[in-house]
Amino acid sequence: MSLAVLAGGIMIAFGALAAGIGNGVLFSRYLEGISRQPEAQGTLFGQSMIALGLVEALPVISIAFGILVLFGIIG
Amino acid sequence: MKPLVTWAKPKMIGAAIVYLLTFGLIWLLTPMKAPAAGCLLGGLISLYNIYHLYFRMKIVGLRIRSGAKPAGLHMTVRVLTVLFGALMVYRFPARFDYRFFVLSLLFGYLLLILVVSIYYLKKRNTTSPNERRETLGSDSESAFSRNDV
Repeated sequence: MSLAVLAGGIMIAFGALAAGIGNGVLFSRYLEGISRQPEAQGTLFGQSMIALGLVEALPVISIAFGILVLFGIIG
Repeated sequence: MKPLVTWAKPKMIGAAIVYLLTFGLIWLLTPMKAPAAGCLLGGLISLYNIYHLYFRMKIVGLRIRSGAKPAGLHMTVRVLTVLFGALMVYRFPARFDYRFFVLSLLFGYLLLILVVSIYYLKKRNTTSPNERRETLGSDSESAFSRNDV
């Protein structure tokens, strides 16, 4: 097994793991907020959307890089 | 001022159309076909991911408000979309430039952050301190409750 394959695997795995934890925490807070105060959904929606966007940008990039490393296009 | 989603949606759609038209024209009219195609593919995937996230969050909000069981955010779909793009770049390396593809995957997220930041900056400049306190909350409320106690 070459090191590039290992590197690609680690990139994809940790990117997905981090995004899963981050999204889970954010989304649970969003649900909690709506359940407690349904009229605040508009405010919560925008703020959660930007936070989820920030959290998701990293794994998307890491997955794309990981795939390219895995198939030997980079590295 | 309008709510965030109502205000931001036309701006996002306009920016997406301008982006796609620009790179579409570059792909059509110039010899830089591979970089432009990479940018188009990455941008399209990124914009689809943003729209999918918005759509899923809207559905979850509606379900919670109606008292139904909450649904998931379907992150696997977004990850698989990126995987599809990466496989396209791998399968057709002469048609898609991987560097521009990876860079343009950030386009939708950056656009989202930019538009939302502009919204909050405008809101800060246009609303009065009292209105701001009502919508965002402030320390004065806790001070009031402390005095009250």
